[in-house]
Amino acid sequence: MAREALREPSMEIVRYDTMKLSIRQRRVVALVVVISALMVWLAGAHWIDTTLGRPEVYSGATLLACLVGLMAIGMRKRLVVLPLWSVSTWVQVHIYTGLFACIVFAFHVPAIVANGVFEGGLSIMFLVVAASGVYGVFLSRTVPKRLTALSSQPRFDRIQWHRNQLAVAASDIIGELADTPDRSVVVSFFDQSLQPYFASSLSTRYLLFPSTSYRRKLLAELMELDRYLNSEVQLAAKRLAALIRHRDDLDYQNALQFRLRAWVVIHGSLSVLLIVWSLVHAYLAIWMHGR
Amino acid sequence: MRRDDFELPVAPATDRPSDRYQCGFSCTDVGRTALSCPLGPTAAGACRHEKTLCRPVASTSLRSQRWATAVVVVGFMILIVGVYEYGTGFYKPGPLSAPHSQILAGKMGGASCAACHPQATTSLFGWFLTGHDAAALSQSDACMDCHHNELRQETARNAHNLTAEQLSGMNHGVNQTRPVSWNEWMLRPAFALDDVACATCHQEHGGADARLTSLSDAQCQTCHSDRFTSFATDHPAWDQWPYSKTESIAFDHGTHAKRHFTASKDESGNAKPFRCLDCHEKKVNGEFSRVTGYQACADCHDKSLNQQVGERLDLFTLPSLIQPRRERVGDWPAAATGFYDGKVGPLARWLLNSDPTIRQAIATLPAEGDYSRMDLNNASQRDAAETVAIAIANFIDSMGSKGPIVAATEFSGENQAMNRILKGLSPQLLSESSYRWHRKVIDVGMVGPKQDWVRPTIRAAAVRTKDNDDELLLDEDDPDGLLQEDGNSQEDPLLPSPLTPNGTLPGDSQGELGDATALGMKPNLDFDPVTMLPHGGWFANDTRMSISYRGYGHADPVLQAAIELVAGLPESDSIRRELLGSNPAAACMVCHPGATRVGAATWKVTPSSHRPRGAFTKFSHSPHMTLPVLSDCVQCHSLEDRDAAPPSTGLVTSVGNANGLSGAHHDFAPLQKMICSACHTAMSAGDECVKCHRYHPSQEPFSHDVLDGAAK
Repeated sequence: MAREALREPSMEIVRYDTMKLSIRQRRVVALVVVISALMVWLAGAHWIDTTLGRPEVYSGATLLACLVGLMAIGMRKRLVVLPLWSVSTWVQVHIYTGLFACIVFAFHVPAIVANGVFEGGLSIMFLVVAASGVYGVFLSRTVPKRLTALSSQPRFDRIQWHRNQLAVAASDIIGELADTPDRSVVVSFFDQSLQPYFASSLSTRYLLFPSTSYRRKLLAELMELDRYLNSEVQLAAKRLAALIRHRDDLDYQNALQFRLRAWVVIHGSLSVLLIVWSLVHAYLAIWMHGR
Repeated sequence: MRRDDFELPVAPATDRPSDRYQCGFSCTDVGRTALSCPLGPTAAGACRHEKTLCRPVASTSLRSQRWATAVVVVGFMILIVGVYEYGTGFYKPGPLSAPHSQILAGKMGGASCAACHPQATTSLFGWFLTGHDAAALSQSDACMDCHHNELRQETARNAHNLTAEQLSGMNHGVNQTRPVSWNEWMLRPAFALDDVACATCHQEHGGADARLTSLSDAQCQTCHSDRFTSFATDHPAWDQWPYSKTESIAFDHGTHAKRHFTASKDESGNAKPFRCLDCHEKKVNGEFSRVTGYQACADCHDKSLNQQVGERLDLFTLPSLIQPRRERVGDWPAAATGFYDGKVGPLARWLLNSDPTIRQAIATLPAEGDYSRMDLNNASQRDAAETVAIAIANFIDSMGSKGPIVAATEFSGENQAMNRILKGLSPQLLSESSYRWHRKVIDVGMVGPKQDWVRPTIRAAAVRTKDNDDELLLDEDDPDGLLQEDGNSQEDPLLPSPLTPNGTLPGDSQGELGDATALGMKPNLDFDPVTMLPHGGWFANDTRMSISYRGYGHADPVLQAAIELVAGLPESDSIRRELLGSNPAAACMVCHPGATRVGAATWKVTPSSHRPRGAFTKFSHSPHMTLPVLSDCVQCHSLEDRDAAPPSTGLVTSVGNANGLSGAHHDFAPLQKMICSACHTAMSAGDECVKCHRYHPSQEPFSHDVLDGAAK
């Protein structure tokens, strides 16, 4: 059975089915829009600057508006029933609005990291959120491909249930073996290596740096037992090998999905914090302006 | 599926991704395995079975929310802790400029913020609680708290610190000569011209290296809508800048350079070179003195000046009368009896004019007090002659007894200029002179009030004139007969002055005269002020019976005061005309026409009121003089070719114009813009507006009053 057949309906990767443009075309259009908006904005900044107005208020207000707009994607995800374009469209708007905000930020701040605890913290927060946004774009371009290449795409919060299933299945395979002399070879290996492996949870090391080295090590050791086994026990060993591969796939799924979810948490929570600090900054800046 | 493969079972669909809790799969209830619970937990996280043997766990969604909440809470905590830890210093948008940073170095937190931000209190939380009070002090007001010495408070927020009237006047003057441009429709300033905040241009929190006073061309052109792409092509040619002919000093560079210096000879017989730096010395700051002192002129003009100012300036002269009536004038000096002669000088007229009777008497005399032109058949003139003569004699006596300044103040009122004139006049000189002339002893000060020579008072004499010599008035004035003549005393020529028993005053500048009087009080007819008063001073001439002053050198204080005394009189006034026409005063007025300028008399060099040079421009010679080609002053400041200039150009030399009406035309050819634009380009020496212009008009040497005049 092909791995695609194992996909659950809820785990279907969302496709940009409403997009009629290719990715390259869409990117060009979006960049043209961003550059156009930027030129209009720069014209406005120049106008304010040449009239000895307050260009920093203008750029700050633009930044604040951009932040609010960027935060709106979170609201959109929670208001799925409203006909407010597709999420993919919102994501695209979100990405290029973020790009526009980064350029406006460069015009707004006197230094990339401003002086003072509050101002410097605000700058750093903006930069972290912007960097996490860039990382999110990178994740969204790489992780789905790697996830769909696996045999199954279980939900993140059900991966542990599947791990437990694999552990039970492995125990069942060992329990179903007839009491033959070569059974003890497999049982001994199961007790020493496989049972702890199936019973263990995902290590932090694997979560951050997923690797197939331990999987290959177990499979190699299991293959080494073949010459001591009769055909029936060999079949059981192969089934155990299949479980090892499934377990490793689950771990890999877990690590990649964790990256996505952790990124969402960090990006979203820092964005909330950023907009709160920005509102405080805006209030103080307008109140204390030099008139 | 292959025999050795494994198919993952389908997970129980008992929850959704957005649920807060999911099954813990730890159920041990009979009949169910831990992995096959079909119900799942409730929304509150409770197991749905009757026997709660399973412990539901938080879903990924709930855990994500918890993490996000934790991050936000930590952020708030940092904000709050930061405020408590750092106070208002927590909110610090950037370092201050070096001057402000030094001033506020000793202040803490909110106090340093509140120094420039009046809204700020010492508590950062207070910033949010106090709100915005529109009536509160603005930040510009806080700027003016310290910078009130540089700018006037009332015009500090005005464009260029000019009043609306001044600005309107300047704009009107410019617009008259400028065609309407498309720039008129360009962007307008984002502020009112009478509400320009300091921070509009002076942006703080840029750090120690930031130039707080920098101003870009674009900022200038916010209001000055004519677009300047470069100094060479767009800046208008200046008319007479940087020259402004002073109206207080008359000096003609052209005639000095081409005539006087050319004709002069030094020790070797060569003409003296006309070098700019001989007069305009280089100062410590590298600039050149715009105005030179008299020392630069003294080499050539000192001798002739001393000769002119050394001529006599009379204070009083006893006139000569024909048969003076003794009952009216008392004992008139025999030397002043014979025929009408003498003249009432301008200073004497100024003093005596305070009394209307005497003023009228002087007016009755021919030519404002010229006794030599008396009409012998005119009785009123004869009476007036005696009235004025008595007044002069009495004034001399009064000055001798009370002191010149006291006597003059009592009679004519307080006048600073007259006080300065009389400051060096010794009462003894007056009393001794009067004594010699009349051979009488008069009262000198508070000591020895022995007055044996009687003359009716000035007012009494005037009354008598009106009453046709009613001799009874003499008795009325002296009912006790104490003022009767004492012939014995009159004949005592050796009686010394009470203050000068030996006839000599310590420190008396007229020592020779004192010595002479001590030797029997004989008239010193041979007193020569030129030799006996080489450095000037007051002296008495017994031949002319006059009290006179001899001036000396430049800036003689008595001559200065005398000119200032009459400077306020109308130009038609005879006193003014006569005094300024005298040689000593005329010698001053040749170069100082501004000393008598109506309303703004001054001896010092002041700029022309119609062109306030430097109010909005600045220039430093120092960087220019480092260039060899510019080290020669005439490279920029060339004298106007007067021979080529037609008379209609208004080229007027003010030398010799003693009426204070100097020519407004300077002596130099207009400075060509290309001389400057050769170097002042964007790529070379720079051609920014602020290179030569300043936004705030300079206080020195021009006051706002001058600016007011300039605007008008």
